[in-house]
Amino acid sequence: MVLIAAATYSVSYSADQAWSDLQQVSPIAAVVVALLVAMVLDLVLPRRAQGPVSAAITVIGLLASLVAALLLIDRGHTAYYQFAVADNFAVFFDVLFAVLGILAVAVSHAYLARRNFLQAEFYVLLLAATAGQMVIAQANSLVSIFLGLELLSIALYVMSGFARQDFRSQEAAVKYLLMGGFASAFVLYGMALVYGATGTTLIPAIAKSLGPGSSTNALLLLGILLMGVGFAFKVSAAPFQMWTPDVYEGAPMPVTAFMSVGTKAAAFAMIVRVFATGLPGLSGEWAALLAFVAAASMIVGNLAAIAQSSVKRLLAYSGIAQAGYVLVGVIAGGADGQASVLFYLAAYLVMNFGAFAIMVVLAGPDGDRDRIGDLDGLVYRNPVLGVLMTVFMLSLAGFPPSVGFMGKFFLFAAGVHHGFTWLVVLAVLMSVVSVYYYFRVVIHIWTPVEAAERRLRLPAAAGLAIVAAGVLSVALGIVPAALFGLAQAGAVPVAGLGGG
Amino acid sequence: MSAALPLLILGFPIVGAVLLAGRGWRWPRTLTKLVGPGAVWLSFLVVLAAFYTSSYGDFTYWRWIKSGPFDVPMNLQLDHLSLFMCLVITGVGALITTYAVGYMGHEDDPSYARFFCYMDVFVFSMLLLVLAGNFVFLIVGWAGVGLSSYLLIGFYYWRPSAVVAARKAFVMNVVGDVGMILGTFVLFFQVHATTYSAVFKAIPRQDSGALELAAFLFLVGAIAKSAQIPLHTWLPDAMEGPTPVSALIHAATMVTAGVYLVGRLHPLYDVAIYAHAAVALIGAVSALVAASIAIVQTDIKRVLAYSTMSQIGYMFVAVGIGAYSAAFFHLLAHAFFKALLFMSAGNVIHAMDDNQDMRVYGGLWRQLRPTSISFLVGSLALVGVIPFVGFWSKELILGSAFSAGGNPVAVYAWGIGFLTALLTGFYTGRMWWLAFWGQPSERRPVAHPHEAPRVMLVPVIVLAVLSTVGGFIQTTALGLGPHLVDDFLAPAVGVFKAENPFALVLGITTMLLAALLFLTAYLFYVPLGERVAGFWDRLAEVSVSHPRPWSARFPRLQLLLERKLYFDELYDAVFVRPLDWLAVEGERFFDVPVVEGSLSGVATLVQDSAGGLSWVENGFFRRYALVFMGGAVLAGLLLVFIASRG
Repeated sequence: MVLIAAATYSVSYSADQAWSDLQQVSPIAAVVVALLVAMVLDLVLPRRAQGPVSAAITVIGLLASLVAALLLIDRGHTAYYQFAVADNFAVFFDVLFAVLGILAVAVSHAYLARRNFLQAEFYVLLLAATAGQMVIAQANSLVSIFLGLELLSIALYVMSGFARQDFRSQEAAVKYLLMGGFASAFVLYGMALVYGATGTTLIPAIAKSLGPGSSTNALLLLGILLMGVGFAFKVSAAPFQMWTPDVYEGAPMPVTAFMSVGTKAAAFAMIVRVFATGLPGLSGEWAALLAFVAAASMIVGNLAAIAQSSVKRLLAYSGIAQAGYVLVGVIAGGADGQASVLFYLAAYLVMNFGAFAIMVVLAGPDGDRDRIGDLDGLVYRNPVLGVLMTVFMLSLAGFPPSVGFMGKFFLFAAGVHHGFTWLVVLAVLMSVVSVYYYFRVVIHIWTPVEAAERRLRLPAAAGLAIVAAGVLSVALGIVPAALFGLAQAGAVPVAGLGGG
Repeated sequence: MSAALPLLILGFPIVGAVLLAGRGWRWPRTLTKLVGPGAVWLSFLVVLAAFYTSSYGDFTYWRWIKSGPFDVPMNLQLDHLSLFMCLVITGVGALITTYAVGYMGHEDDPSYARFFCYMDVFVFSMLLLVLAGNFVFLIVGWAGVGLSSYLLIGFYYWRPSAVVAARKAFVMNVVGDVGMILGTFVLFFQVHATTYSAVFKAIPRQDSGALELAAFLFLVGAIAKSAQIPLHTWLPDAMEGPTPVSALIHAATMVTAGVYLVGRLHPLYDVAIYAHAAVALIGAVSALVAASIAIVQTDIKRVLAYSTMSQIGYMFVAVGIGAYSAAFFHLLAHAFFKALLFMSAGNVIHAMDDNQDMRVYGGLWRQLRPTSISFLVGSLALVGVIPFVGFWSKELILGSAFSAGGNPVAVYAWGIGFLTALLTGFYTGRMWWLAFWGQPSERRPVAHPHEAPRVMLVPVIVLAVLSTVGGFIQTTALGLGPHLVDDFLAPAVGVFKAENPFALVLGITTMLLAALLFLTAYLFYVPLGERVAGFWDRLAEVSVSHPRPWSARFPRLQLLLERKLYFDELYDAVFVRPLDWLAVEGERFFDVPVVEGSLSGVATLVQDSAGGLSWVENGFFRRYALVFMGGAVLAGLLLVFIASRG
């Protein structure tokens, strides 16, 4: 589609140009190739071999994508007539999504077999969603952003309904589809209005076209409003979060694990790209909108999480609250604000995915076990899982020396630095509230149970993924400089961002 | 190479703790016995290596946080002061953990490993506290020792009194932690630095008001940790913990952290003169009050606890008048003799079936000879009798205070310290005569007690030897002889210059008076019929045959002291009850109707939407869409408001 669009601009599209452009989107290309191969092999191979083979292809494709992304560090530029870009910001997210995909394969493999799901289809959808996320990360135009958004969303709608015998899963899929369509319409309408106001969909060109009168331009303001609402939906920020607990609860656990991190990170990439890079002159307006959303998310997410008895729902509300914290960094803006957002999203990847991954392992053949009571005595049934779940909860709650603490520190420091002290005060207060429900999980983990409870077996791949997430959750809190350096390199250079 | 030494010093105890926490409860006991104390011994060896190779330096390993001006490196500072503290912590710590192998012997298996795990955590935290090269890690270590102290006081968690005592210690310490953190904030606000070196370099250029504030805030931390008035009430209750814990944490090391803090921050206190004077005054008052309360206590460990508070008061006096090396010499001496007293007392308590009331002991001298001799050595060191180590260190402090000309606080401090020395002689004598002399009490739980096993006796004897000869490393209290502690610490804390021509006279006089009171206690607390015939009998006939207990003459004074000057009651009335009232009323008028109401409202709302989750077409989507639209409208209104304003 991008090619067609490009072709209408110019007839002299040389082979060299095509090769150069392809290199810039090589992380996406690797994923798409793997997707196609997996899809074809699914038709050819005998049923028994499908699972392992497609898992292997998925991992190889994602690894190739990871390597391709790493090769692009500091060497990217725009491609396809500026529709795509491979700056360090995009590369940071490419790496994040490739890692997320690999972790997701690792924890899903045993789960899919246990629940007797169609494995090849799952991996194909996973690759499609990953490709969508990466398109969003590398997009440099409103059109390509929307393209990525739909690619991601449609794959996730199907994945949410993947447990075809499970009522809740079906319901989650339909609900997600309806609400997601609703939000997509908002985003698209907003984009159309911005295009109407500026005459371009290329994000840097939009930034250039803004002038002194832009802040009273009704089309632009309405565009910001509509896009902002749609983006807030995607990061599951209040008051547009209603779908989150239901979809998280209904979707099969690995899907929840994948999308809890993936959608959020992709949506934040989208917000920073469109708002911070595309509309820097209107930062006062969108920052106010996002501040309202951030405050609402922190309050609603943290208070509602207290009352939950399902770990999926608890983590869903916790995710809503966490979206509020990350928004503080976005609102703060500036290089430090953006770096803190990137840092936190990477931190969120290890700690939140880790927590969900443990819930994946707990699931039985009949379905997910996500009552908070299902965690009773986890540390006695499997000490590694018990300790790591504790680590993830402490990290999500923001206890030093975990990566969650450092992440919050950077976010809040940026917030204070750019004059959003009131929002940071609210965030800190609400973090205190969050300790209550995270600790409720910890208490269940450490509650002694009857000796009759059998020990929990840990599949090797899932175990490896969980331990890696756990080690990173602590190590990146003790030596955060490594990751923070990458995050700083990934921040989009935009001058004059944020408030005072 | 030398940069690795501090890491090794810290590494052994924490690795030991992790191993014990992870596997200890499934191990054979022998392994626990090896790992628990072994970790501390290894750490001690590394400290010795650092001592002999003089591996000093400020080692920065990596940058932990960098955000604007807030820059926290992970750095450890191994200078003369921290090395001195490390020697005390690991040396005495190794002896005490070894002793604990025997003392804790009758614990069940998981608890046995748990004990050594906590002990190793404590040693790690304490070492981090003294090795930290910046205020952030100082606070981490500071909180870490608070936590391990809490865990160890509440070690017998099935005893309600232990749990209450642990909680009390924790709350009191948190008050101090808040002081520490606020103090760090103030300093950071002033100089924008967190490392000692950077902060101290900037101090001469600072406004004295802010420095006074910071110094007072750190002082709050110091008095809470070191159990000085008015944050001292947790220490006697902390005796609920096992005796090795009392010896290590609540006598030798953790409670002296306040002294370390003032010593470490001496560039600050040298400038903040009011806070500095407050240190000395608080120390002096605490010394006197604690010593007087010790006179009426009947629980042997509580007497020792008040005595600890009183001796730390001396150290506060010393750091408060600027005689830092004298304070640290006394810290070392106190670590020796107080650990010795606690461990000997532990042997006695062990032999007495865990009864700690010394009124029911009596006559142990004949049955527990090695322990009794050790206890006597410790007692004489505490009273300050020549040549035991306590004499040299305490007289050095008193002499320094007496001769610190031009410092009025020092003179008052000396006067109070002198009185305290006399009281110390008396309460120590009371403890010694009551528990070890005379005839066995009729109420004694064990008629024929057994001496402690060798693993408990050897550390006690080592400390007894150290308490006897350790003082000869610095004999300047008498104005002559070696001054190794002064020399060693001079690069870190400087030299206290005060000529004291009366040192010899003063020292000997104080000692003689204190010793006399130690002996006087014999007349009060050993019944006439049980006295050993001989000189003392004759002396007794000359003076009074059996003096009425002093307390009979002053019943009100006795009650005042027995109630510990009503500090607990005061805190109960001022803090606990009003807060209780606030909590109860708050629950009735705020928590239940407002908080719980809104929470259960939210819960009902959420559960409503979750509970009926069966069909899509039942209106829920409609409701979601409605909220969505409502939110969008609200956001739109906000945007219009912003736009119309701008």
